[in-house]
Parts: sequence; structure tokens; C-alpha cells
Amino acid sequence: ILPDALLFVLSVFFRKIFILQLVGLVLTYNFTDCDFEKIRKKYQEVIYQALNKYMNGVKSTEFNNYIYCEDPPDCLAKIDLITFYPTHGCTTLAKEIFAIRTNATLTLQCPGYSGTQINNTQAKKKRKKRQVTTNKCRKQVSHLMELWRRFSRISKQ
Amino acid sequence: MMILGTAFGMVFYLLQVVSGESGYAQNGDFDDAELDDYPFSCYSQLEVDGSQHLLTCTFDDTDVNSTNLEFEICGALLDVKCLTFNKMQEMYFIRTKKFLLIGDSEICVKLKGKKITCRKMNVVKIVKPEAPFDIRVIYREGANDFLVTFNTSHLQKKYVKELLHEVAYRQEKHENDWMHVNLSSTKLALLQRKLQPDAMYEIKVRSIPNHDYFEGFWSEWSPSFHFRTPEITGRMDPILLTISILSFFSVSLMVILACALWKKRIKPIVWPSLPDHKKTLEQLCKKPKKNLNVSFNPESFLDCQIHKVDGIQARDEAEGFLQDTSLPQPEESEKQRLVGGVQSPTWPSEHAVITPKTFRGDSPLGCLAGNVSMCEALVLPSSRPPDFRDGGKNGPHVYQGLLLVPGTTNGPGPTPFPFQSGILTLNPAAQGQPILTSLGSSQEEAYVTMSSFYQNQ
Repeated sequence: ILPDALLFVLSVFFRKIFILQLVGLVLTYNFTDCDFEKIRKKYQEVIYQALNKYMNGVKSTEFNNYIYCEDPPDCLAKIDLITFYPTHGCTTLAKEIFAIRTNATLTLQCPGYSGTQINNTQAKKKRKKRQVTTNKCRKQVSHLMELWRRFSRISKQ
Repeated sequence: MMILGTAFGMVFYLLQVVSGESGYAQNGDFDDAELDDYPFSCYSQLEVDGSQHLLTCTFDDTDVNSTNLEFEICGALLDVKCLTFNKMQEMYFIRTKKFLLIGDSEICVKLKGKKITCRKMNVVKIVKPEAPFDIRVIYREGANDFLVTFNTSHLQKKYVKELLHEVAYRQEKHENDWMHVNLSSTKLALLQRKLQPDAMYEIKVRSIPNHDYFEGFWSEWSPSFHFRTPEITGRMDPILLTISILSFFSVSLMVILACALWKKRIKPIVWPSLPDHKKTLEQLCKKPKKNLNVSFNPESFLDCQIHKVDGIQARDEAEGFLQDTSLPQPEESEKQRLVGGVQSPTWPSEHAVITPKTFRGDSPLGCLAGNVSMCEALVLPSSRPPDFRDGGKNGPHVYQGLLLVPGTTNGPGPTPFPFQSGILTLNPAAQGQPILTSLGSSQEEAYVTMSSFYQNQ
């Protein structure tokens, strides 16, 4: 019994350490050198459609979207954080189409961005879970949409 | 032995490796020369079937034996690493939702599982839109143009919404003379004046992505539409034409009338001439009475003898005179005696006072027929006519506006004379002139008409 309990505690403990490490990696990345114009185009043509489809007709304005980013690098950093790092109540955003496209965009347009390595096999298994979209996840996605809109406006300047 | 075996093993291993790299396959086929002999091209069509995309590849060389050849795409895919194409005759295609639409993919030709040739392609850069459809042409008579409309399925798509359309039209008898028009909307107006009247035209349209992100190729042409342009004749409104013709004829008629009536009617009104008093008076007396000779020309009265009146005699003597006139012409001395007899103090002077007076019911003027043509005259004797004006010894005396015939200016003016019937005496200087007799009914008055005046030369 003791080894099972110990294993359980250790797995949870290590999972959190892993996440913190990832967060650390992300937070340390500087999005200043990204090609904001190309990122904006990809958002307008491809990422926005996937975000809209995920919301499935639910308007992002229905949620309290008090979220703000100062400049394009700050916007991308927050987008990256919300998209790829699960929060309590919503852990599957990283496997959505919009998240994959966001990852691909940042990988292509931000030098040195390693991106998030998503295990495709796990994505297949969790596809069924993905279909059940929680309200918590919709709220997060509405935040994402607000950040992307802000980024699109300020990156034109 | 071990060392020798190892050496031979290494040699054979190297040989195998080298032969493999040189293209020597297990099946004996030599594919090295064929690596670059399978050029191919691909195009993508997004959301062609709902949310599913279509990727189609074909070999550029139609003579290629594609029996054992396959196509595979790897990279930029959702949830999977690679996808294998389906084959239909000489065409290879994939129908899937798994295109990431971001980043490049690698499309390879595989021969029995082995990649022969690969090309890096971006699915969003080889987009071939669907062909437009439902092209129509409507003639707008009011605008004198043809409205061309067509439809495209990309209006309802999420991706590749902005397209550039090319409309091509030609006259059917001119086979290769196509006219091209580029537009971004689905409506086009062709001006009628740029087309031939009463001609058959053919029109078609195609599309290409018109965006910074999505690029690609022209779509297939839409099905052609045929239309005929109307004839030009009868363009003018019939009412307008009728009004124009009537106006033209009216103006022409007015010009002709103006030219014809210029001198007679129009010029006298516009530029009237000074009236001629003689002619004006003649016009006023347009309808003269019979035997009424109205003229200021003395030659008109040649047939009317005008005698100078010198005095007034009594009727009796006048009657006697008349009897005498029927007899042979009296001698000159008798004439003088008559005249002298007439010139008694009781008689008025030899000057006859003649005044015009309107007849009461009598004809005002007339000439007696006979040997002596006489004209009636009106004489009003008075002692001192109030209108008598003494014009001087030598000058003529004027009475009531009348000019007294000058004879002898000496002596007083005319004295009143109780006149029963007035007669006129002639001027003794005028020889051979008959004596006027008074025809008036009143004894006191004698009437002399205007025509009996004799104007002294």
C-alpha cells in the first residue's frame, strides 16, 4: 500500500514540477523577434476560423473578458500561456486545432521558439474527451480571442 | 580466419551499401535514371465538400507508366504525420480535413513504398478555386448596357473568400478575339456602345485567389452564356420624333411666309413709312358717290367748268339771263351792261361773297348739264359779314374762310343786300364764260360748292 501511495504522490509531484519547468521555459522566451505581420495574417486567415468553430456560435462577449496585453510580445506570451498550459478545469486546449495552428505559427515566425511537443497518439485517445467542451474552456478561449484581437489591432501599427 | 571473415563481410557490406545508394533495388529494377523523370504538379481546393479539402496531383508527362506509383504527403497535417493519395485513372487525390493550412508539406512520389521524388509545397499556395457558375446577362434598356452576374461557391466559405474574377467575352463569329475584364465583385456592366448591334456574343468567367495569404491558379472556366445585342434602329422615342418633324415644318412655313409677306405686311408694321396725305385722303374716301369726283388734280375736273364768281344778282335778272342764254350769245356790251346793272348801289358789289354752306337736304354739289356746265354754289350775302376780313386793298378778301375772288379791290366791302334769290355774276374779264345762276331755294342764299371755285392762275 505504501509504495502505491508513494508512487501516486511522486507522479503528481513530478507532473507539477514538469509543468513548472515548461512554464519557466515559456516565460523565459522573448517574443520580441517574431514576425508580427505574418503572425497577424495567419491569425486572420486560419486561427480565427478555428477559434470561432470551437466556440460553436457562443459569443466571446458573453464572458467577462477583462484581459489585457500591452504590446505584441506581451500578447503572444499570454496567448502562448493560455493556449498551451492547462488550468484547473480546462486541460485539453493544447490539442485543439486552433492551438496546433498557433503552435505552428509561433514556431515558424518566432526564431528560437521550440513550441509544444504534442504527442499525437495521446491526441487520438483524448479526441473523444475534446468533444466535450466545458464552460471553463470556453471562457479561456474567449480570453484567447480577446488577446488575439488586441494583438491584431496593435501589430498593424 | 576471423580476421579474414571479418574483412570479407565488410567488403560485402560495403558493396551492398554502395549498390543500394546507386539505386539498385531489390527487385532488380534500375531506378537511378528515373528519379527526375516523374515531374508532377498539384493543386488544392479548400472546403470543396463541406469542411473537407481536396488535394490533387498529376504527372506532367502523361506517358508515364503510373501503375506502381503512389503519392504521399507529409507535414503540416493535423493529428497525423503523413497521408497517402488515392488514385483515379491518371490522377492522385486526397480528400481530408487534416490540412493544417500553416507551413509547408512534402509531397513525394513513391514506387513500391520507396520515395522516388519529393517536392515541398504549401497547401495554401497552390489553391485552385472552384469554377464560377450561373452566369447571366440582362439587357438594361434604360441604362443602355448589359448587366453580367455570376455566382461562386467561395462566397460561403471560411477560407479563400477573396477572389479575382476574369470575365471573357467575344463575338461568336470572331473566334479568337476575346475581350477580358478583371473584377473582384460578381457583377459587371458592359456598355452597349462597346458591343456590335444585332450580334451574338459568348461570355464566360473564371477566378483566382486574390489574397496575401492564399495563392494559387486560375479556376476552370464557367459554362459559357450566349446573348444577342439589340438593333440600333428605332432608338428615338416616336413622340419625340413626331414633335421634331412638326417643329421643323412649322419653322419652315414661318420662314417662307415671312419672306413672302415681308414687303407688303411686315415691313410697314415694323418700319412704317410717313403717310402721304393725298393718298390717305383718297383711301378715307374709298367709296365715292356716283359722279363724285374726289381729286386734288385740276385735270380731273376738265369736264366740269369752273367759273369765277364776281357778284350776286337778283333772280329775275337771272331768269332773264337764262332765257337769254338759250338765245344766241349776247354781245359783249350787253354782258357788260348786265354786269353794270348788276352793279347798282343796291346791289352788292362786283365782288361776290361766297361762303360755303351746308345744304338742307339738297345735294351739296352738282354740275348742271347743258351748254354751260354750271356747278351749284352757295352764296350768303350780308352787309358786314362777321367773318369778313379785310385783307387789304390789293389782297384778297376772306369771308368765313373763303377767298374772295379778286376783281376790283377798291370800294367798300360788301353791303348788305336784301336778297331774294341770289345769283352769281361772272367776272367780266373772263370771256366766253357762262353766267352762273343760283339754284338754291332760299332767296337770300346762294350756294357755291367747292368744285365751282375757279382758281386764278
